[in-house]
Amino acid sequence: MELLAPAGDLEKLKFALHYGADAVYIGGQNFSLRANAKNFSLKDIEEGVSFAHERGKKVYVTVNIILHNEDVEGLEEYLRKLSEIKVDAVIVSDIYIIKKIQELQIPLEVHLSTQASVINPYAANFYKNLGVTRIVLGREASKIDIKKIKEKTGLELEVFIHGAMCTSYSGRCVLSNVTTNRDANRGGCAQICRWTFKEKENQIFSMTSKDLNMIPHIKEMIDIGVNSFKVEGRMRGIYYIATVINTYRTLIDKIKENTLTDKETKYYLDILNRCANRESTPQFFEKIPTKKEQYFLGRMEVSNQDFLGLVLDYDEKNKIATIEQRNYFKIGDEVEFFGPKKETFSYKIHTIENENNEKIEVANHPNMIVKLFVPEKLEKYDMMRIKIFDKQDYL
Amino acid sequence: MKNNYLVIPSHNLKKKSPNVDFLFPLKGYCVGFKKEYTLEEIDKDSYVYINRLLDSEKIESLKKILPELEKQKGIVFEDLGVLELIKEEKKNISLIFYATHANCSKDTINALLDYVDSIVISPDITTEEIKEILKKAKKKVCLYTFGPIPYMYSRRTLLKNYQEKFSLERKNELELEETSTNKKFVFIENEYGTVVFDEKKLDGRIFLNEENISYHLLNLDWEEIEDLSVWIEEFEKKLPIKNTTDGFLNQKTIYRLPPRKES
Repeated sequence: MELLAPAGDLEKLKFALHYGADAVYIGGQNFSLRANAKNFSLKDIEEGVSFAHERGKKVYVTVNIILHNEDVEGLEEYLRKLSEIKVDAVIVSDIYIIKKIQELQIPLEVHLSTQASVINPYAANFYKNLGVTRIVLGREASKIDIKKIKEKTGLELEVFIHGAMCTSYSGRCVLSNVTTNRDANRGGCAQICRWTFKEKENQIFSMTSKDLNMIPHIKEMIDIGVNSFKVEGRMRGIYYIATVINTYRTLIDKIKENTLTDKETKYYLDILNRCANRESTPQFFEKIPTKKEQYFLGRMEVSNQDFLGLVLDYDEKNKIATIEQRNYFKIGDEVEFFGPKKETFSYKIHTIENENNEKIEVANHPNMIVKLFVPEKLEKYDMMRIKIFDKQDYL
Repeated sequence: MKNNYLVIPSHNLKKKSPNVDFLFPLKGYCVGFKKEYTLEEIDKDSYVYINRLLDSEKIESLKKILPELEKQKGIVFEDLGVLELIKEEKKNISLIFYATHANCSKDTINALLDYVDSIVISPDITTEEIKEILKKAKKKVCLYTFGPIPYMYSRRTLLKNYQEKFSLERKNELELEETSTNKKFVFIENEYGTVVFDEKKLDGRIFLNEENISYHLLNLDWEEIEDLSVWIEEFEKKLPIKNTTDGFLNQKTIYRLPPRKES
């Protein structure tokens, strides 16, 4: 069973793995969707793969554009290079790329991208016969579909459990192409489904999907044979990735140990919804989404400023944490610390010192280094956030 | 050169004309059509259109009607599961694969042609790209030459959800305008999902008489045509047709934004 995280760059890759992901998926600078993200150079991919493999973890590289005539140039060389770097798999949707890997006998494991929108066992078998070892199912696959595909094909199944949803079937939308001239299926999607529409004089509305959140169904997914639990969001920041991966890691481990309670589940749901600033639902798992699974009037989305600081160091003897500020905080604020394999704990800020050990009242400069007295032990790369939910209230 | 046509008929059209095969959207297995047809309503010796992505239950129900489909001229389909099903069931059915937005390169298309009799080139690419494909395709291919241009296919019932949310009259077809660009789209929906089209229809007649085309696909679902022979005659003479566009034929898309200029 694998927890699979998105990583838009090397820093995010390291945080995702540090916070409990078993594997990450990344995009190179060519042949991948999210063309306008920072993405990974071949050198970055090599470094990311080394970092992951040293920790017994995996890296998958997306090569999932829909090819146009001009896009084939350089593809073979790129695939060979990925193989040399020893990436653990490539995620592909165009059949030409799948067949080319087999024909050239490039030693690369091939996973089928969600862009192919596989939701039945026959389609999965078609790709299995081409040598694909894992299917990233369409987000529209229901519990029944997942079960049937597993039973009939025996393939590894990767299923999205969290993050943004396309309004359309993935790969079946070119609204961005016609509206902005940016090709959605080659990484240029401008997310037109999140824009607003109107019918004559009627209400302006959007057809935006709420996010996906499978927390209530993780156990069922384990039981029906899902192998990899995938989180969406290669464009997301380290706080989002750390929070989401840490939450699902804890949840999955508690399910395996049979120690998860309904009250705790509610707490984790609230943490995740707060972090994304969006409502989330299980979408297609049990039914076809209705009006309740959509936003109609847009979202007044403000940036999440819960992430207050990143722990850079902890002096155990003096109980002093060195923290890199990420958002404004001050003396008297109620905060909490979280980190991998750490029970989240609350703390009221009593003193703040700057780098020169001078007492200050507020940490108000981006990335400034401050020191806090924190009695409980912290680790490098733990995070400090504003305290919104108290776990004790849920228990 | 004689052009062959694969025609999705308008609702009032019954009679074929020379060089025409009909393509009937099969009820329950299609989205994005004003008129769909039950098996009983489909003329003999026609093609049957299955453009839905099929869930596990629906593809099993398709298995049951394969003997009926085998009697027809062939199937045009979007879901590669249909191909695998037909192979597993050892049925002898002519197959045309139309992944609406994925059949975009000569290499992809040649890879697909190993498994099917023909494919339909996606209407998302330029004239130059199509000409290159026609030149390099290893079998004759089909071209979407006329009809509504599909831009998006959702499994969600977007119109139903919108109309329920705002307590509006229930309609399965609606023209909606994107508010920042004022671009108009037509939404068509059934219980299996919603398809979003351009308000204008594609006119790809520049490809008439090109070589390596087995069929020009004409989608007349939005038309009112009683005499197809007359319509095709006028079509071939390139007489003007209202409310048409050249779609992506002269619009090359990009996918990486140029770097921002330093201010």
